[in-house]
Amino acid sequence: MENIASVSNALDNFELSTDYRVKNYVKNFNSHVDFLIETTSEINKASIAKDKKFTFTDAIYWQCEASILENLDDVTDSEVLGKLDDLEDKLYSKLISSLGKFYRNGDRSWIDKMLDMTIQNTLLGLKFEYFSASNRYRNPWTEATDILLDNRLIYTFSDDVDHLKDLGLKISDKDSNEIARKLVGVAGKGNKKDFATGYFRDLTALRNMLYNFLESIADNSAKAIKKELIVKEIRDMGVKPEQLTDNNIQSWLIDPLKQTNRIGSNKDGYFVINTGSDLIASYNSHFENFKGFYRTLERHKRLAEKFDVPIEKLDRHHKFVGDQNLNAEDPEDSLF
Amino acid sequence: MPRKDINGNDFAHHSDFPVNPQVRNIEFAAGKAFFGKREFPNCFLTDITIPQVDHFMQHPADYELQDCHYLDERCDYLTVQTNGRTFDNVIFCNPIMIGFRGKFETKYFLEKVHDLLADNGTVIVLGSSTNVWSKFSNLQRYYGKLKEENDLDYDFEFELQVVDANHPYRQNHTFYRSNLSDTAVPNQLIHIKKA
Repeated sequence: MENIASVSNALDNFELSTDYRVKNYVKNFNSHVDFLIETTSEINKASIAKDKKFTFTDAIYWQCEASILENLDDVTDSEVLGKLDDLEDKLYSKLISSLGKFYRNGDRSWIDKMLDMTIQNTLLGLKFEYFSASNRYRNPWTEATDILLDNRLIYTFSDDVDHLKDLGLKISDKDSNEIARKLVGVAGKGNKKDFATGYFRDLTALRNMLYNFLESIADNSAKAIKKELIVKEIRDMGVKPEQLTDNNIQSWLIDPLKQTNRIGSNKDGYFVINTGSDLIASYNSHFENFKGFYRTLERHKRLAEKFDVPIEKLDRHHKFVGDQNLNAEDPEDSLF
Repeated sequence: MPRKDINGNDFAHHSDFPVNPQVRNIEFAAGKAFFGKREFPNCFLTDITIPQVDHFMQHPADYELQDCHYLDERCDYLTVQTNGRTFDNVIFCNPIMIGFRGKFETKYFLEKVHDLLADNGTVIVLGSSTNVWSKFSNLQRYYGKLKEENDLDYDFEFELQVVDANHPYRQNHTFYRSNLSDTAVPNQLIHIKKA
């Protein structure tokens, strides 16, 4: 996660995007929502999305935020709060300046809504790191911050996709089946007249059904099950391949459960993390993968001279690991 | 036994929104709660969405035992049309999606306050000091910015009261978050008046 000073510095040369082709902002917002729900569930020690009929709504989003802040926000340090206020002023000023004529001549009510949402989420992402219990939970605003700093967009969302059609959101015909109808629209704005629009599928209920299934037959690392069995279970639930392909099941159901630490995996398959032993099993498996990737990257790096490639282009893995270590508050938390 | 308001009367359903001149109070984003109906009798209870439970009038004999809602009207605070009529008390209890989460949310909130509030009326915002939609420091900060930047045409006065565990509002109400398993704990009561 960025810190206050680095975000402030990044704003000095910041310009909003003029290119809407990359849809990464939708993926980032989807992850942000997943982590918001997950962190709220962890705080309340109950999965709020356990109900099979659970459907994500705007109200749930804001209730999750309120619950997280009411339970965790204990920042009273006036120096920190003052720096956040200064950054907020800079964000409003810089983003309105970067919008330029598209702010002055645009539909101000939409853009103002996006500015508030983007700026407040960015500030919450930074403030979260100062909560005394922050190291016990995943910061749910990390990916939201990435939409501003990496995708260079201001943004908003709605569970009512019709609401965003005025901004140009189009829903694909193939998404008219029941599962895909649960959509959440995301609209972004860069330094262009029009809006970037996209959507993601609210698959929380299906993820919960899958989690419950894993809990019933794969509740520890010794009972891990393969993806093929998971796919069979999803098909037995009545979900057809034309609604959700095998690859969709991996990327939209299994991967988010892994990303939110609800399940782990090893060479034998997937399982629910219920004990420290499960956690170690999953960690060890991923550590082996990590070592394999690391060695491959090092071998690539050794070819830099042969192909006349600047060494810094092949040293990003070291920088990544270095950044992770710098962000670790306690040296004991660092990667090495 | 049906719930009573602070005057000891049964809760009333007002189906004549917004015209009934006797109903001088209005609560927005009420959800399934009944704060406005209890504490500010003759109150329209409203929300942008209707909870998927029965209305309390469907259970006149024992609604306090039912999972029900008390709404009189479905409407959105920022776009509601009241044909020029105003209210003595405009109430927000643990608000989300309405309030002070940013400079412009505050601007549109206060502009609507100007339209809906009687000249001697009061906006009541009960919430937590960590709820970004209701925290007093946000209201103060963004109001100051908006006036400094000439982006708000109206003037307001604010007053903050601390709400501790002994306050009647906390003694008499449990503030459930409709979709979550936890409760909100308000510790601030903000009064807003036209200056």
